[in-house]
Amino acid sequence: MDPKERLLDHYHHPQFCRAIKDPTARGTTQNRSCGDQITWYVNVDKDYVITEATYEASGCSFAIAGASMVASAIQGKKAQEVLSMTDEELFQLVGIHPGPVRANCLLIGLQGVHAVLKKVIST
Amino acid sequence: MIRSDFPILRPGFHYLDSAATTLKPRVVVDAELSYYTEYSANVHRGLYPIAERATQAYEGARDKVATFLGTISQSIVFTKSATHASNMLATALEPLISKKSSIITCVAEHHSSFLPWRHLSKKRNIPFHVLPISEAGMIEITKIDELGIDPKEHSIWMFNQISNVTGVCQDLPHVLRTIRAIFPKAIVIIDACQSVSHIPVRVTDIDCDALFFSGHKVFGPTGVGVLWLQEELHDRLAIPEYGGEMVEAVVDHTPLVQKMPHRLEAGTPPIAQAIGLGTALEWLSKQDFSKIQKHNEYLAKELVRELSTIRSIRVLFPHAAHDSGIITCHTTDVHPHDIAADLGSKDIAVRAGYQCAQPLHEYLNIGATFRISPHLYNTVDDIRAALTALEEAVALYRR
Repeated sequence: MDPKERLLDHYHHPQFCRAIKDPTARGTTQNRSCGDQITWYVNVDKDYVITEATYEASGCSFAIAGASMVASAIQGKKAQEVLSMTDEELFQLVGIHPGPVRANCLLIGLQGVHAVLKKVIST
Repeated sequence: MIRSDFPILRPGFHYLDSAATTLKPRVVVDAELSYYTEYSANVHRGLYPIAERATQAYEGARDKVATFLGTISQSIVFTKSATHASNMLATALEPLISKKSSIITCVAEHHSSFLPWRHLSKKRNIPFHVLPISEAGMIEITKIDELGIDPKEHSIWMFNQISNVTGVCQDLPHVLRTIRAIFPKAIVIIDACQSVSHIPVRVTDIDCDALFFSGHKVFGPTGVGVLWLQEELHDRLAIPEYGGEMVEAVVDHTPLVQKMPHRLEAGTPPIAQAIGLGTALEWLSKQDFSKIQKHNEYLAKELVRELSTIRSIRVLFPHAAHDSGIITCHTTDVHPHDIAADLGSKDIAVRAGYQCAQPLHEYLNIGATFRISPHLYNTVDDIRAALTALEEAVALYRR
């Protein structure tokens, strides 16, 4: 499957796209310039290993597929490992290097989960 | 064939984003290039031939703008952009504002003509009224006497002539007559960014006090805007920016400011850009505005008719007069970014987002939109290409 087809597949069939009741942490990130929004729900164990990470999202295909691919990649990973994931690594994971405007759409999922994990680690 | 005037219009490229910026005819590009390659000197001070030529060309551009707007050159100020003009004006008009003044605008304003005035109202702690628009996209002006505006004080009114979202052209003479009948001390400012390339804009016909527009939306270069001010205001304005060019002299560390328009042009002005803009307006003056209007109206009607048949797409203000050709749509189960990006991948340029007019989107209770804005260089083929691609995008991204 080429990157665009894979992106469309994640957009039409987003993975881990649901809410969790009473998660360890949750948080909402918005892209105010276009209205995209994602809410992450994350459970971690005592060693900060992500036992479950899900989200609810509204936005364009890049925002939703980006969140879906991030969610697929981070299950079972250590929070610190996910926090060290760079924008460039996400572009490589997706297989698309978007222009500056659409990069914001693609990155909202990663930025959102980073914000939630920082909250987890700091408490 | 007007398309051949625009070097960027290669076959297969469908540019439908003219409300964001118009394309530039070759004469405009050549005028800027000629300044940089033949007489690239600063204006007003140099005593050598190319400096004198630069000054003549820059002031000549001012004359061309004045002729285009039906006014005198002394009233024309070159700014960096329309946004710069709006912000400068908001500072310059402060001396006329009292505690009992009000600022009134409309919900369909672009951020550039909304935010500087909201900021001024907050700074001076005076009311900021936002008028609604009708289903036809017209400013609701009938209830302005119920807003509590003091007719004995200066009030500032800020409206666009054509909205960059609805594409609707306001009946400004009617709006101005209504305002002036109730508020004799009203100062009315017009944002002509969209109108100036679509209809003849004559400041005396509108009867406004100030008007601004950007060069790049009227076939001119980026980096230059125009602010027109009626003569009665010239000596009553605060100086918004200090520096070189705007002073005759500095004596005992005190600036002796120049006369209009130079007192409002601090620093080296956008010389090449102003010259390019003068050329653009000269070029536009040779076109027939009634033909431009008919052409854009025809393309808009085609668009509205066909867009109405595509599932997931809703044309904003479908029954309004879209004389300018600007059509904006919201979507039900497809994101406008996906539509615009998919069309972009097929060399079709449209715009998605809030169109720098988020108050209107909030007012209409809708999210991001996409906009198709053809102009005089577009053809029915451009419209058909966009409509075909739109149907494909909707089919691909509908959820």
